[in-house]
Amino acid sequence: MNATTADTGGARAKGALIMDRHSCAAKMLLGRLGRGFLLCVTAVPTAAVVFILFFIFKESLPFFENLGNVREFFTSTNWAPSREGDPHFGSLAILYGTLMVTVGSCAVAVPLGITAAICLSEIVNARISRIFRPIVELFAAIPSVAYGFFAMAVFAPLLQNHGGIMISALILAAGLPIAGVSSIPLAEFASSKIFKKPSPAAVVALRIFAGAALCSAVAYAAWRVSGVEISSGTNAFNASVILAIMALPTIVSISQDALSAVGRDMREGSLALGATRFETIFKVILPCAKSGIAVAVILGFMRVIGETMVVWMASGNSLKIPEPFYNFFEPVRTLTATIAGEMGEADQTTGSARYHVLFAMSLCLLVSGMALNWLSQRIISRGAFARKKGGK
Amino acid sequence: MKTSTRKILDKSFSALALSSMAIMCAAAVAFLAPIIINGSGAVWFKATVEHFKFLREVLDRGSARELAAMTEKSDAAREKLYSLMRAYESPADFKKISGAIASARRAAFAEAAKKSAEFVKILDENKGAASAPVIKKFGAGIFADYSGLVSGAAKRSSSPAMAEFLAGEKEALQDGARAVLEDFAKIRKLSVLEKGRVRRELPAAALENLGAASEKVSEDNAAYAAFKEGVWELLGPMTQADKEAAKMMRRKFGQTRMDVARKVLGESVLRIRVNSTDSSGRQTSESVLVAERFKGTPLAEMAKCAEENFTAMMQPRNTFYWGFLFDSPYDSNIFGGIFPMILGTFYLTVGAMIFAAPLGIVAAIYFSEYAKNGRVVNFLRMCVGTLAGVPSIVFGLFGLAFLINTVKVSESKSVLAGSITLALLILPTIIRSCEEALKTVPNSYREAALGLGAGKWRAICTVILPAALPGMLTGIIISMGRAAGETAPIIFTAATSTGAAIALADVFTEATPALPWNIYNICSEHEMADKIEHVQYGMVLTLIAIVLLLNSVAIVLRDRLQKKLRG
Repeated sequence: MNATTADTGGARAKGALIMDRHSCAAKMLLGRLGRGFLLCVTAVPTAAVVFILFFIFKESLPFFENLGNVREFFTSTNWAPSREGDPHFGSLAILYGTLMVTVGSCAVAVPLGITAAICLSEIVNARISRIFRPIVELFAAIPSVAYGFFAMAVFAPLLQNHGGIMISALILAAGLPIAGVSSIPLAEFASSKIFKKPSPAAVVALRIFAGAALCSAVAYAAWRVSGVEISSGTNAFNASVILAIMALPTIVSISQDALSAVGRDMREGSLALGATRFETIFKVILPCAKSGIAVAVILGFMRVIGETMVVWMASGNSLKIPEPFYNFFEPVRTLTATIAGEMGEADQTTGSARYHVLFAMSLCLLVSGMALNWLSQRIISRGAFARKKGGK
Repeated sequence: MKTSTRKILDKSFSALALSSMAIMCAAAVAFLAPIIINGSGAVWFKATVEHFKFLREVLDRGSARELAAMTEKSDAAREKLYSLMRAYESPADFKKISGAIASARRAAFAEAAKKSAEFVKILDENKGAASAPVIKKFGAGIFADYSGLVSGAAKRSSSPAMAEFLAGEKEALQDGARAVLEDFAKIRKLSVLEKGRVRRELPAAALENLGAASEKVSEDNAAYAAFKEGVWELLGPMTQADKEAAKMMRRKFGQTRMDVARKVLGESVLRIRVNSTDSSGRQTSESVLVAERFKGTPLAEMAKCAEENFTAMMQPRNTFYWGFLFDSPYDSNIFGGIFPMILGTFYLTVGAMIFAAPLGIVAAIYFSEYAKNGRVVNFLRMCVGTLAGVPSIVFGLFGLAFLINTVKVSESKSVLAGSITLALLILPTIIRSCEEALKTVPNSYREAALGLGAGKWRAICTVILPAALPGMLTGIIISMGRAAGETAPIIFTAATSTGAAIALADVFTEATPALPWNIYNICSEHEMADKIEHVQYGMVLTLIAIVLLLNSVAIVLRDRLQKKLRG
């Protein structure tokens, strides 16, 4: 085409090269339309969020119209949403169960996940880290119902039959080395406080004393736990442990990213000043990476709160607040499990009182999830990860 | 702090960190090992002859000749047990014993008639209520032989027929007492009160004995019925007629797997449940060992026979049952495979991909190639993040409230509704991973394409997308794995627990069984959950295998991509 226009003369040739006005406008329009289309498609997640918020809110509105219901929802434990004529919506036990399972699983997952992340990024070399990484990813890939099945079919009977012994053995295995090691700095600290110039013998004596005290405390705890009778294997402890395993991949991989984002200069500076690796990690790297780790914990937390199948299958679904309130070996019930379990076939179309209260529960979940998400976004934008660019 | 202390702390912290990795590895092993070991048992296991009967009769598979040979051997072994059972049900000496009892009864009444004079004298001597024990004693004397025979029969030869016969004996005794009154009346006219007393008290001792005997017989019969039920569960129906009358498939065949068969043998054949009354008068049911509780009775013999011939009766052999993956389930998963669930998972996953992949790719292109940092784009990005943070069960409720109850994409649950819900769930992941993949395409590619005169759109289609494709595929495949494994969003939108596979044409209107939901269902809501553990483990293993397969494909793809980028 260019060749033919070039033959016919100057003015037209010029027009063909820079395109005539019509085709230029058409192209511009097409480009605009294309961009508009792309924008529309990109807005689908936004639309989904808006629709989800709207519909969950709309379906739970009939429940919130009655203020007495709302007060009962948060203060009572009387849960009978489908009783004829006299329904009760007290969800305190369910909310407490959710809190308990979440806190329990974070208590397991956060220390374990952060230490594992430190190990992967600071202690082992890159090759071993590459081998371990897929194991962590494997945990993330396994479907939640498989975890739930494991909790129900394998872990629950084990816990019910040998729970006390198992946990006390775990306490001993983890507690005794920690007690032994921590007695050393403790003794040193104490001796420097007590004596002006501690003699070696006094330090050794203090060390033995502190070690014996800590070890016996651990042994006492283990002995107390070993006597615990676990009446049902599906309980808050079971759900917490399994949920912790599910939250681990999130915590490990995000914390690891945060830790490796800390610049080399920081590490090398600290080591050059004579700090050991332990001190470097605790005094330099962790404070630098703390907001990234906080994001990791929050995202792990979110995964735990929103998880359905594991808690449904492993938590025992009991509508009571455990006695005493910190007893993790009692069955509990969570919001997600209640929603999944109570939305019966009949309720799905008729829109009964139960239908609406379950939507109100999911609104609670949604709001807390969004709040946590917002919090993590805030932390990220505050610049924890900005260091990643600046540091390197 | 001293240097040595600091060194110890450093070392021990390293040990702690390494042990946390060790704990995670141990957890992975502890989690996967039982599932892999037990799950593979769904495909590779010791099958009994009943398994091959099931394959032959229901699925028309396997060699008929081999089956015939196995059946012959097992029938020969079963015959020993069955002949014992038949002997119990219709004992050979029943006629003799019942005849002896009946004639003893007649003889006793004849004797009573003979002694009528003596009897009336007793009545004369003991007036009023005082006569009752005396009459009873007199009756006991007459019926001594009879009672002995009845007790003997109850001890040795209880059977359903005997129970019936003893029930008849009770009436015969009462009738006989009424008849013998007339003989007494010939001596002296008896008053109404006396008549009543004689009628009640004369056979009282014999009746008591009879009652004890028939209780013993009916207890034996109940135990036998429980035992027979156990044998039916283990071996299948005894006769062809029983088989045809049985409605459910689990009544047509015995145990198909050796491990379950051994469990059934231990729980329902060698031990049976018997009803008993405890000290406070409540009816309880307890499991007792047949060989101990019924020592010396035919039942103990049967139990011994069943135990001894167990292997011969079941004819176990190791088999690969690939049909577990490709067969439909029969009789709520007790027989057959899990094909409909696998198919349903496939439909849902592919459906979710059809919706999510194009949307995700386009959104990623917009974010990485077009979007400038502005308020609108930031808002859009934030919404992607928010969508990723929505709990999965909330997606399920949203699918129910919006797709099914409001838009009505289908009458009730359907694959379509489930796919759209799952698509929304995995959309953020796809967008993020595709965006990452697009970002890894070097800027020089873009510049070169634009420099050669390609338009932006053309540059994206012909240069950038092909370069980013492996990375995008990785993200999409990982999201597929996630969609395949999610349960909560499909509970209210797509999943049903019935076992029939649905045709491709029905995906717009029909709910489907799907692996994740059916795993939950078969574990928590199945009536015989403890007898189909292999199916549960098999399903879980299949699901994990599907997801891990998808993930490893993605990882391989990613590694190849990285090599390509490096090299």
